[in-house]
Amino acid sequence: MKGLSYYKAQSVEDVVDRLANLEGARILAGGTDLLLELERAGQGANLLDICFIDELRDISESAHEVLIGAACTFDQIERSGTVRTHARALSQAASTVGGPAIRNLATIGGNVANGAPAADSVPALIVLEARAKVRSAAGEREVEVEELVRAGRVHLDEGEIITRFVIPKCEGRKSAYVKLGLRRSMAVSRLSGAIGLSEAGMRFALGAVGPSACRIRSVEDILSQGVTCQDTVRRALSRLAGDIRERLGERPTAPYKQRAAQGVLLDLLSDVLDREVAVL
Amino acid sequence: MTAVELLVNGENVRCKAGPTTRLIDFLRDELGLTGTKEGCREGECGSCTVLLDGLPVNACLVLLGKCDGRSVLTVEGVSDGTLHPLQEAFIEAGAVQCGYCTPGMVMAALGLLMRDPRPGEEQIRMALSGNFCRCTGYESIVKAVQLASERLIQDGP
Amino acid sequence: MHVGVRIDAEGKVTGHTVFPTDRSMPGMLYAAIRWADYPHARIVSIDTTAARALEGVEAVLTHADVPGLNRCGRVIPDQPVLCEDRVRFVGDAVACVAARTREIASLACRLIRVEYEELPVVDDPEAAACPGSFRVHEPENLVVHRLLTKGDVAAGRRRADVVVSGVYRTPRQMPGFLETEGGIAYYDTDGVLTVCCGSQAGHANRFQVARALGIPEDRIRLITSPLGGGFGGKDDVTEEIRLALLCQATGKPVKLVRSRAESIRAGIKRHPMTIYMDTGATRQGELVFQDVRIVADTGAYLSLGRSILYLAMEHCTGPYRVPHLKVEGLCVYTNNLLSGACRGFGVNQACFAVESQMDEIAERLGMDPLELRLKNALRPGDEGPLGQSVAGSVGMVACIERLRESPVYTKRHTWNAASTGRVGRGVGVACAFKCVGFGLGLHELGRAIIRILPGGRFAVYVPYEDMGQGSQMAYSIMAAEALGCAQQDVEVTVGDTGLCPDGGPTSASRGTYLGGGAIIDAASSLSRMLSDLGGAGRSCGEKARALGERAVGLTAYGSYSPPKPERGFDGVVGIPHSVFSFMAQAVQVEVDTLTGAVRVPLSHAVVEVGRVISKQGLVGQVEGGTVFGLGMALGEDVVTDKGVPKSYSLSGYTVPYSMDVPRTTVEWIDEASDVGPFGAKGVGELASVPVTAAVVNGIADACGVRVRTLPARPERICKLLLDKG
Repeated sequence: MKGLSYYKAQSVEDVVDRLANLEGARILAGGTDLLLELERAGQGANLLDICFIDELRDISESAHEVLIGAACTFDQIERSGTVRTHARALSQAASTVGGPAIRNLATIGGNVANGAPAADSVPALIVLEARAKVRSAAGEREVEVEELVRAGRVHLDEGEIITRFVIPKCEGRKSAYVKLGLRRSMAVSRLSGAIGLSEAGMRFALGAVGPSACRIRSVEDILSQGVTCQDTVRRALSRLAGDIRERLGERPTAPYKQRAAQGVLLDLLSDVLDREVAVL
Repeated sequence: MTAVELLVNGENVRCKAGPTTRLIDFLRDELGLTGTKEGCREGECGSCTVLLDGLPVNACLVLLGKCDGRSVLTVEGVSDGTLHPLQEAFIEAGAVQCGYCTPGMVMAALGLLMRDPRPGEEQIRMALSGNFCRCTGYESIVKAVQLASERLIQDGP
Repeated sequence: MHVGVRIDAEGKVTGHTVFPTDRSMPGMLYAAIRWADYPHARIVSIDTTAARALEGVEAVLTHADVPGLNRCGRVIPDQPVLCEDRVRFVGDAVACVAARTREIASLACRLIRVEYEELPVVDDPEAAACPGSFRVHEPENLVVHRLLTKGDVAAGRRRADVVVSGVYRTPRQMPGFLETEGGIAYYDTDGVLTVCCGSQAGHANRFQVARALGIPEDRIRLITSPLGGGFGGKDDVTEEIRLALLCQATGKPVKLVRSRAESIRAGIKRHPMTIYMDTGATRQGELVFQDVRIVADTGAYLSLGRSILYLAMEHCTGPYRVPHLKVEGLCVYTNNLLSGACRGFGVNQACFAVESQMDEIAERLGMDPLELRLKNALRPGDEGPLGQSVAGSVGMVACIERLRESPVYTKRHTWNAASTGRVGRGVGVACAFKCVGFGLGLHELGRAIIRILPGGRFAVYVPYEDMGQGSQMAYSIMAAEALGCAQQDVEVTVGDTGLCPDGGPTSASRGTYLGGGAIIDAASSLSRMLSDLGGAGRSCGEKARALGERAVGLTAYGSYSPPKPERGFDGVVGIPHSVFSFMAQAVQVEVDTLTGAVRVPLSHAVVEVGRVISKQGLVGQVEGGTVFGLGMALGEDVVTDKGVPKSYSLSGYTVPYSMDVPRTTVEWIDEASDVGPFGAKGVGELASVPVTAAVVNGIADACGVRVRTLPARPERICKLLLDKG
């Protein structure tokens, strides 16, 4: 790999300083995507390894929020009791990333910042109403994850780094994540979905339909009328198929994804309601 | 950056290779530890699985700089003259055919048993689920890990 | 027998076994290859000036630097080692480089300037077979075209009460060995050019190296074992010739290992086949005819495509009595990826078609699918599919009868009943047979050498490489039995042309059979030699011990020539076969009718492979073969677009991992065959054959749709379900 340099960043300040001043600086987290991308492109880069920065590797909680450092690995997230309790969909999503060895390297920050339409963590983060804390030399801002990845690009400015994900705690919220891949491990998601259900409302998001994961609001609206009603579920499924048809148009995968997404939604509902939801 | 220093199989090593060298190349080329196999160089096959601070990782996706001050265990470091019960179990259960996935499988399984000495069959399958084996169909490998787990518990403290 | 020690296992679990791609030497150069930039183009010019000028580059070779015949290919040498005026697929090599580092070598490759004129890409084998097609090779793309008949298909059609027709398409499966192709080449101290490169055919490929380098074979040594998997993909030459050329040109050790992307680009794949099949049966379920057309896409070069097509043709009856057969086979050049040997060698494709048809006939006749198979199964004394005589055991009936008692099969209705509105559950069955060894007209002679070592030990040299199937274990078990000694007293060496006799390739599931036969022959020669020296005892072991030092160094050669059918077809080499192994398999299948996801939780396999030499070896082959065939059924396919792979990565290739595979129970009919060493046949390829059709039949049973184009990916299943309404 020609023209590659490596620097073990000491602190977030150190990172933002170098991002601002060092030409060709790239943040290296787990590296599971970045190294392959650089090799394929034959590109050089000045890599700033953020994985030794403690504050980015920490999962913590306050009274109202769960905080997940951007350099937390999926293995860490999958095993975190805090995440399992307050953000179950994310815990499930983490367990579907690659295989065990990948999960010991790959990070949640990298997964989001890489901007892949099929990124496993994103639908889960969206239904959990997660926000990303973003730092740069200019300061800090917070942005909803759905906004961060909107329309197929990652809305980070030059010199910015995601430091944490903030997931608001929500009493009684149930959430779930389902991934369809071509096998049960080491699979790129063909379609993924997440649901978050609480008294405050419901969120439903899909990944790998269109340029980035996003909420399917038309379906949320129907399901908000009561997920236990057969007829509502039936209407939601039909609306979902219509919505995907609109999103994917004439793409060859469209008929399949319309049908499969219905399966995903039923699986999600079955999971959060803890009973088999079947409407056929 | 000064030379990367790390523990490989318990021994302190000062690396000649720079921090952007991939761990797999360092192990195979500089240390001659060719037990760590290369099957894809893209994190798909798991043949290069080693333990980094006790956790299985794909050595092809790890830059040497990331290993600075840390501990790497390769398949060569698993046995100290006599076979580890896990290695014995692999032989007994017929978990070895061409043998090219074997070191990675052994390391993935060892990582599991270090964390969970009594894994169920599903946990074993999950722990091996990043390792590709074209020969065995995985059954004998799963059985080997079960066998090793039973023996390690019996012989354990 | 049965309990043998896997003598190669300890080195593999400790990481100490050195594979060809693990080797390195002081002063070694690294090689890289400049591949074709287009799937089909005329080469206008090749300019290596900049590459040669690069610091650290020691050789840049093009076609002009090949001293001997610039061609490779086991049967027809039709593939350039380094292309002269044309590239015919993306895995064609235009130049190769040796340099002091990998980075310099690959940079030098990029600096080679190749000017092309693009040519039309021929990617549809059926269109390519037509006379008007653009030609990949002269005089025509249709490289093999044969019609084989037995009986009178027209008469068969008249007798048939039911005729089932189907068109089946099989995927471009890759052998998927974990160790990619390559190794190291160097001159040994005697000046012998030594190529250490994983291969299934040391001697045959040594000939190809010699032919290209223009030097005698005895100046070349191929060390080909151990190898990290072969599965057919290392049968024909891979990188042996270019390694040798670069070593010859530089005089230094050279290492060349294909990356996974290069292996996908240039390596052998299973022939995608389109099979048109009409099968007729009487109302009582008796098969009366099989009318078949097979079109095989061999890619840009033939490799072993001719024999593979022939085997598909021979096995397209299934392991059944079919009185009337007509089968037309076409093997066609295209600009697609190179096809060649892949575990099963054409039989998998044919079996998928036949066994799908069998289920459809059963359905049409309202018969149980297993009963239909039993009714038609080949029995001892029956003629083979092409009318040939069959030697050895014929255990198809026993396999089916045993499978009928298996839990997967007996509980099929319970499993069916566990279906829900969304999830369909079904059971699929399939039978298979697979020839053992080469067919009529191909030279086939197993060879082995046994030498007495000090301390009552024996060295056994057999050519057939250990690619994981456990040939060393099988040989040590058989040698111990033949010599009358302990397995530990036998040292087996395989896969080294410098030490082992030439017995042809490790292919056709014949390693155990030929190697074992030759070991027995060598042991009996050795026994006579020991007696002549005055050694007393009942076995070689005893006699050698009695003679002590006097016996040391005594060496015996053995050979084994397996039975062949007495007659074949004019001008057709390689079929028919005389010896077959048999297998029946049932699988539980679960289909999510919304997502199209298929799960195969359980599998039960019964094999008849003659006498079992190693139970563990057998079970390992069947479990592994099952997963191999499962991959072909459900996910594996190197998808190309106008000859170019859509993915050069393993991530784009859905091979099963540990959570995707069924629990397989393996049973065997342990009856000694009256041919083969100790009555053993072969199993390696057969094990991968029936499961593909069994899964597809299970899908049909589970949700009522029949997949005729593999792999049965979720999208395909959903499409069929949508079409069904």
